Amino acid sequence: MARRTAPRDIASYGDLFDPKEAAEPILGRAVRDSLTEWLTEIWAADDLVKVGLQPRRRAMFDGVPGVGKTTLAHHLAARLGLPMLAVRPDKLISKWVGQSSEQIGALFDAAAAADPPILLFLDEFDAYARHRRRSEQGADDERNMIVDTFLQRVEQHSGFLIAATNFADHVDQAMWRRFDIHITLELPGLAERRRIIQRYLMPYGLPADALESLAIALETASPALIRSFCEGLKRQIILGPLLKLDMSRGAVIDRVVSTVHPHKDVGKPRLWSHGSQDQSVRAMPWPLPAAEEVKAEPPVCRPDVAVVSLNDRRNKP
Amino acid sequence: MPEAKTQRGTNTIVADELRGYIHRIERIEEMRSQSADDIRAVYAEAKAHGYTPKYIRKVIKARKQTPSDRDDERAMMDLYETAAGLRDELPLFRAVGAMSVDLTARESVVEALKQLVPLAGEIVVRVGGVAVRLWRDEAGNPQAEDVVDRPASAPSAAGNTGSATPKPKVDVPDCDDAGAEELGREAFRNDQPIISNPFPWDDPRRALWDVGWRKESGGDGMGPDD
Ligand SMILES: Nc1ncnc2c1ncn2[C@@H]1O[C@H](COP(=O)(O)OP(=O)(O)OP(=O)(O)O)[C@@H](O)[C@H]1O
Ligand SMILES: [Mg+2]
Repeated sequence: MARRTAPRDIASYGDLFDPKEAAEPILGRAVRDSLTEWLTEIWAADDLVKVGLQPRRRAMFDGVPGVGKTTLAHHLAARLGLPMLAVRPDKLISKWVGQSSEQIGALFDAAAAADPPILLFLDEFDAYARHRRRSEQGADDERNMIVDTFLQRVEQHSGFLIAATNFADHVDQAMWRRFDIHITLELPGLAERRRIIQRYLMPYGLPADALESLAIALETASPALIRSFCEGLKRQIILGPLLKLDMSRGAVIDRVVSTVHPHKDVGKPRLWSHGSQDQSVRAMPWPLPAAEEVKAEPPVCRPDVAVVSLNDRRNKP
Repeated sequence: MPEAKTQRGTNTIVADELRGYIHRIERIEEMRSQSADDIRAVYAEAKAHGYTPKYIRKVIKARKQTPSDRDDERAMMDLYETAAGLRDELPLFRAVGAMSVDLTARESVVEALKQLVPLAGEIVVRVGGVAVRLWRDEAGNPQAEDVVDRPASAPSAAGNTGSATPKPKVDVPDCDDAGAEELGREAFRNDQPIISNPFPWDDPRRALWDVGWRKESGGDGMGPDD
């Protein structure tokens, strides 16, 4: 008894994400618009209250692994200026009968008491919220109890709550309805893939035609896969010569493609079937040029403010 | 003069080789003078269209420098020209003047000055009668701190021009709603990310700063549109 009544530190339930460390996810128009709309709504709370409304506080994000559900939730928390607590099922589900519900209760209590408030991010939500089943055995009773606890606590929770799932259709209907915003994150389109490649290839870059070609060869790739591919490439460029590996373009691409794998639930992009024989590889300048050498578009002109430095005060205190 | 390339024992092969180099160099020099002519022709064409070659040359030179070389050079030119009396206004204040801040509010001037802190170095300026020291912390974020002239003997006399209020750990800019929006715009112009909003979560100005940033960028804070 005494063991579990000891109040736990909020960070013991999962990972705390600092608002200052968020990145901007690269997403399609529709998702970005929903997010901006939600932010506007949250910030208009005072006006909504005047007409008897509350801003919506609970969202469900669904999408295949690596499309950026966690990244998007973190970005939203950062825009609001709140830390995010990401909780995974293994932190809550206990093998002891009855304890999981208690853990869930304790988590929601801790989240509600947090000051400053936190945005609660429940990852892999389908793990708890699968359709309730008619109970046939003890394990199902336990499962139903977990769902019931969630139904209650989600409804009562007054803070921001985002649940994420890879399998929207596994989520219990009653649970689904408790969330007032549903955002589906799709795999990135061509334009998004171009930008994702550019971001993660930095400080290298590709001229416009090679970039386009690679973005096409990466169709069906998730942002996370594109990131791993780009980072694998950069790692090879640095480490390959040290390890005395064959640094020809084809050899490098083949090594990267064979070490970075798409998630088994999503299709393989074309680059994975053709490897170094892919036409996007032939279009790729080698060695990879620096990004500033291949500026595809003219740079944006921003008003320039001169930096002033006083040469006698060059050293920091 | 006929030469037998296979001949050995004389220096003919060496002479051949040398001639080869000389020819190559001559060819390249010829190309170089050809490209110099081409460049001159482009300048002439630009001039015919109303551009001034002198400035084009300067821009081309500047483009060969790295951005930080360029900034340094500009900063040093500013400094020297001011010192030599070529300019009547300190570059610092000219830059602030160009940033559309409320010059009567000390905090907003300090806030604007923070954007101008060099990467390596610090600035000490008098603003509103009180000296303020501006520098960058390890993360590169500009920081400002009033400089107390008398050493710590007089611990913050309460009536001290209002600047002696105990500072909270995070500096929240002191401004009104419009000021918050303007700071957001300015943050965008200074390449600061949308999540660098300085207002805490429960401050209504947080939303206004975000709106200002988005308005200035024409986007939603999640990157450019394609
Ligand atoms: N839309 C995106 N734009 C830029 N980077 C992204 C995007 N989506 C994912 N990434 C990158 O891929 C990595 C994995 O993304 P993230 O964890 O957000 O995906 P997820 O959808 O939460 O995946 P999972 O279902 O496996 O939890 C992150 O490190 C992130 O940097
Ligand atoms: Mg995730």
